[in-house]
This record gives sequence, C-alpha cells and structure tokens, in this order.
Amino acid sequence: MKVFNTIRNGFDKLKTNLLKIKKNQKIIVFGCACFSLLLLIPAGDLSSDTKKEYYANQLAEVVKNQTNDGECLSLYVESFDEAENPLYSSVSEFNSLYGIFNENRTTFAGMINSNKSSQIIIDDIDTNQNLSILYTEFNSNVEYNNHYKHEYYPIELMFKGDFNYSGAYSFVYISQSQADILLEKQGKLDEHIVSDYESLISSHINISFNDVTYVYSIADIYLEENYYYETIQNVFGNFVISSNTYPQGFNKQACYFFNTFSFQNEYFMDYINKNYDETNYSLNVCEHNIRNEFTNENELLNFFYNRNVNIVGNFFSIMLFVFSLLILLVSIYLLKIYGIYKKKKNIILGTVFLFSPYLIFKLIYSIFDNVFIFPSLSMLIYLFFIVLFIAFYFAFFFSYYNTDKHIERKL
Amino acid sequence: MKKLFLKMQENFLLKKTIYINICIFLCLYVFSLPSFSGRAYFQYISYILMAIYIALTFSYIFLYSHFEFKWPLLIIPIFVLWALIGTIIYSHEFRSWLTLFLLTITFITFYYSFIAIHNIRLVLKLLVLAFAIFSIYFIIHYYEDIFSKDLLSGSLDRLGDFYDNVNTIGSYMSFGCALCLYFVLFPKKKIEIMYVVPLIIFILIGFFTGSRAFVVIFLFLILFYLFIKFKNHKSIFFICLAGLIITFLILINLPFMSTIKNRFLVIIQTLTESGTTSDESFVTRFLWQVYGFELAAKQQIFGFGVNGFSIVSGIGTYTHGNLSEVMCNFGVIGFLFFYFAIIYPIFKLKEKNKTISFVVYAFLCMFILESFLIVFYADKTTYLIFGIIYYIFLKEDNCYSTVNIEQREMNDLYELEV
Repeated sequence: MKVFNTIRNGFDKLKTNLLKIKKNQKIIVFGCACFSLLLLIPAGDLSSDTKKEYYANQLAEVVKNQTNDGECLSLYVESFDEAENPLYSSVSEFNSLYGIFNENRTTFAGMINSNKSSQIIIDDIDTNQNLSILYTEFNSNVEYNNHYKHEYYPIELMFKGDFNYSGAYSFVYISQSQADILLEKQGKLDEHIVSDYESLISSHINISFNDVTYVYSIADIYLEENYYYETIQNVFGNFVISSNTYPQGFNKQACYFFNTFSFQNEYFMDYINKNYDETNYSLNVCEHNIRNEFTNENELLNFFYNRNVNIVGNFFSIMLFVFSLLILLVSIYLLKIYGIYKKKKNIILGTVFLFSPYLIFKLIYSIFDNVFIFPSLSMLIYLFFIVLFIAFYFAFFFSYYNTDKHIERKL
Repeated sequence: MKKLFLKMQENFLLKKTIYINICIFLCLYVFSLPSFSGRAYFQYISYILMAIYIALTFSYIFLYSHFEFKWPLLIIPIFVLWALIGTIIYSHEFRSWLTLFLLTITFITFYYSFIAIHNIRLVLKLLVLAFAIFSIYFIIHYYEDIFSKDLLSGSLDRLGDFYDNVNTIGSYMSFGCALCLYFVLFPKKKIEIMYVVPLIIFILIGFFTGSRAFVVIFLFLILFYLFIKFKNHKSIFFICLAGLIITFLILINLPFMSTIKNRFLVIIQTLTESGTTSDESFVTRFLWQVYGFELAAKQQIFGFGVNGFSIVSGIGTYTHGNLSEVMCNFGVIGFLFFYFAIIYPIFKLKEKNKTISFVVYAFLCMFILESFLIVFYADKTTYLIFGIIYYIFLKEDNCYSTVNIEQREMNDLYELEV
C-alpha cells in the first residue's frame, strides 16, 4: 500500500511539474511522438528479422536482375546421407506449399539432377540434351479438360498412364517434343495424331545415367503447356518425369522457388530453415536459369548456413521497441493533460510531426536503397503506433467536443 | 414549368405513387444484389433497377421535401476520394475505383430513400422481403442439389457460386439473419415473431454456402441479441446459451452440415497442429493478412490504391481480411477514414436504449468480426448497412421529410399559441 501511495504521489508531483510548463507544449507532445517513431528505425536494425529481410531482398534482386526469365530462382536441398536423413515426401512438400501465395506460381518440385551436374540422356533421342528428372511417387492421374492431369504436380498429360513397366527399370513420362522425335525416328514423319502418341505408351527407351544405361518404360506423355511446365523448363531446362526409383550415385533434391517478392522469399527461407539443418543437409543454388557468371552464391545461402540468432541484438531491439512505446504513451498522456486536442488547428501540426520520420527515412531509402534504413519490422510497428496515437487523439477530441462543458464554454 | 412543378407538389396521388415505388424498387434493387450483380450481363438488371431507384428517391426529395446535408455523410465520400490518390499513383485500377465511387452514390441514395420512406421498421422489413425472394430463387435453382441424396450422405458441395462468390452469398445471408433476429427478439406486434420463418431459411442457405465467416458471424449475432434481450435476466440468458450450444452441436452433426463441420475440424487441427491434415486455405489467408500489413507499412500515407494488395503482392487476389486490405490499399489515413465512418455513428447514437439502436450495434459487431474474415470495404451490403446506420444515427436531427416538416410546423404553431 505504501509503495502504491509513493508511486501515486510521485506521479502527482510529476504531473504538477509537467503542468507548470506553459510554453512549447505542442512541441513537447508531438516531439515525443516523433522521437518515439524515430527510435523504431535503430530498434528494427538490431533485430534478426531485418537481417532476414536483407537476405530475402537479395534473393529478390538476383531473381529480378540475374535470371533468364526474371521470375524464378530455385534453391535445392540435398541430404548428405539419404538413408539416415531422407527428404520429406515430395507429395507432402508440394501440398504444403501449393498456392501458398498464388495458385499459379510454382513453389516446389522434387528433382534429380536439377543442376545438370551429371549426364542424364535419352539414348534413343539423338540430342545432347542433359535431362533433369521430376520424380513422383506412384500416383493416379486425374481426368482434366478432355485429357489428364498428374495427381499432384499440375502437369497436363495426354493419357491416363500405364504404370506396368515389366522388363524395365522404371517408368518415365516424356514430353510431347521428345515423343515427336521418337515417332519421327520410327518413320512417322506426318503430323502426329493421338493414336501415334498412344502407340508409344508401354514401349521401352534407354536412358543413360553417367554413361550407364537403364531401360525405362514410357508410361505417359506430358503436354508442354501451363505455368508449372514453363517454370520447370525455365529453371531446370529439359526434363522427364519418372518415379522415385533412380540409379545409385544420384540424390533427390527438394527444390524451392524464390521470386521477386521478398516477403514470399522470407516465408520459403523460414520454411527451409525450419525443416532442414545445416549439419545433415546442404543448400545450393540451381544455376541453370542464371544469366551470367554467378558470384554471390555464398551470400545468397547465408540465411541457411549462418542462421545463429543474434541474441544481444534482439535483446536491445526489443528494449528499444519497448522504450519507444513508453515514449509514445507519455506523449499520449501529455496530449491529454495539456489538452492539445482542444484546438482543431493542432491536427495539421500533429500530422506533420507523426509522418515526418516516415518521409525522412523513405527519402533516404529511395537514395541508398538499403533495407537497414527502412526495415519492415520497424515500419510495421510504426504503422500501429501511428494508428494508436491518432486514435487516442480523436478519442480525446470527440469526447471533448461532445461534452456539455464545451458547449457551455462556447455559449 | 413552375405551375407544373406546383401541381405535382400538390398531387397527393403522385406523392403516394412515388412513395410506393421507392419501396418497391428498394426491395427489387436489394433482391437484385445477390441475384444478379455478381453475374455477367445480368448485372445490368441491377444497374437499371438502381437507376430507377435513384431517380425515384431524388424526385421524391426534390418535390416533397428538401435536401439537408449533414457533415457525417461526407466521411465515406472523403474516404473514396482518398482512395483515388493511391489509385492514381500506384495501382491504376480506375475501374475498381469507379465501383467504389458508385457504391458511395448508392449509400447516399439509400440514406435519402430511407428519409423519404421515414419508417425504419418498414425499411428493414422490405430488406428482409428482398432477401426472402432471393432465398426462394436460390432454392428453386439448387432444388435438385438441396433435395438430392447428397444432402443426406453429407457429400453436398458448397452452393451459391451460380450467383456470386459463395462467401459473398454467405455474407448476404448473415445480413438477413441480423434483421430477422431483430424482429424475432424485439417484435412490436406478435405477428413479427413469424420472421423466424425467413430466419430459418437464411440460416440454412448460409450453411449451404459452406462459408465459415457466415457461421461465426451468425453465432456471434445470436449471442449478441440474446445478451441484449436478457441482460437483466442472467439465468434465462444462460439457459438460452446452453440451448443454443446443444442445438448447434446437434445441427453440426447432421449429414448436410458435414462440409462446414469438416472445414472447422481442419482449422482446429491446423491451430493445434494435431492430425495429419492442415487447412491450407486458413493458413494462406492468415499469411496474406500478415503480408497485407507488411506492404501497408511500406506505403503508409496513400497506400497502394484500390486492389493495390492484389497487384503489389503478386498474389493476384485480396487479403481476405478487411483490416489489412484497407490498411494496405489506402494507407493509415484511408484506414482511419473508413473505420471512423463505422465507429463514429456508434458514439454519437443518441437513442442508445431504443430497440432500433440494437440493429446498429449488431451491424457494428458484424463489421468488427468481418474485419478479420472477409474484405467488405467494396461490398454492396456494406453501403446498404451504412445507409441504415447513418439514417438511424442522423434521424433525430433530420427535418427534411414531409412528415417532419408538418410536425415542425404544428409545433411552431403550438408554441405561438402558448
């Protein structure tokens, strides 16, 4: 009780002293609010979240400026030892990321040889195209617009699919162009019709993996259209679809797609960090879609390999945010006891003070383009603080203008 | 011309005819909102009805009353003008902005037509009638789906996409429920308890849409009205509450409710991280709202303009939450204007204890809940609700209906005599 009384007395004394200030009351109140908002910038800079935002921005910049299509960059996770630390099932990965931000944007693909570091070639097709493999688990293709669609990857197919691959190592889906070459080799030079393509189903082709040849049975032919096909083709180049049975020496790769939107990139970064640790898995950039020579690979992967949280920085960041909130609350309190809200013309002055830190930092940011001048975390808190201050201002304003006292005074 | 004008003013039959037509076209226009406005080509029916409704309303006010503009009516137009700045600078979605502008005109028309009708209970009854006619239309269209085997087996799909987005139909139904509940729980005449019939139909249609927002808003509305009705009889309130919970548990386990039940179960599994499935729709909507705030933080003053989030985020759709959408699209100032338009009438409501005020509070509850569930700033229902709220909150001061003018003249005469 004594403590409570002491605090109350101290508070009363403070209030009396504050009320003695007659001049510059407006400047004190709005200056406090402005200072509180200015503090948010260093507070944000110290936080680990801003570092993460910086990495996400870097990824977005690389996608924008250094990729061929300017839309997508893939980072792939590989296990050091698949037997001990296998990757998650591609179905569950695909489903948990599908349409998370936009249904027409590719987010995940389970690949083999995504970076083209090995040689995978269809021997029967006389091309030097090094292939990647989009691997699938056993699936049941579904009917879609008079043709078929893969059960979980949104790849459009010609047929229902024949998974009986007796006498072959595994099954494979080839593209329509690859099928055309095969048909031409069979002497069918005219325009190919559905029955021509159908004749290829269940036939065998040889695919060599680093010069070791395996027999595959053609289970289906995929159509070279829609957003998913285009992304896979742009990011990895030519590919076939096959089962997750593959020769030794090759690894499964979980490929995540980054784009020009840094918030979305942050989400995928968090997702990768949450699901994989750097001791058992490696993260790499798929360079097929990169335009020129790529030098800043290590910087891009920093979020994965240097993920240790800066505890001291975060602590000071939180302290500064709390301090900033306290100053804002003080300014709201002063707003009340000084009665600044009673004059309508103060609204303009207040607006100038509240938005000036934002405008200053926005201006500097537009010149230097550095995330540490304009961190998202700070700006988000800025947004809520400013709404809090304005809401209190108008609450006082309207409660004052609604009271009888005000009307009496006017009379 | 002047003579004709005076003749028209003195013609009681014409006045009555316009009055009745305002009522009819209000009902028809509101009926057309869920029925036609969301369908290609059919939306022109809605436009024609709206044009006739506007013409009738303003001719009535022009002939038999006089305009008196109150400054609170400017809040929404100012918000729309503010939205134009962001739209010009960033999003360039002028067509969508035009919708917002037309909605503002609709709001002003609703307000003045309610003044012309000058009977808020009649207005609310006309709105219920409009939604009831839509319900019949809905049932006729989905007759086979509703009464098929799927209904009993629980494999019924979400219904309503023939008319508009299923969630939008759900929100129309929650609005209809708010009105019916008011008449059922606060009847002036005993016959008004019969509004329980449209109420049940609205509830069923709301459930058929499979909209989770509808279920949440409807439950909240029931709780709110029961609380107000029985706030002095706590025991009755708790008995009603228990009854409500039991009814809800029975209802949710019926086969035709399985779609909505499963959607809720998956949300619970997602939140508690139990079970094998997670609700992707729930997760993405939550993420989009966070993303909306993050983008809003980057453009705090003007926002990104109408549909700004959809364009700037790369997602191609709205945030699914009004708070983040308004903040992102119109900045802090636009946000404050929009929510000020909602909150200000509540504080200024003078007849706080009159039953009609409960409707205003119910709408406020709806708006608060919907802020986290759907985007309603460009919704037709929102501007209809604004019309009702502003009519109720400004009506004490308004003196522009003929009835009020006559009353005022009578009062003046009485005062002179005294």
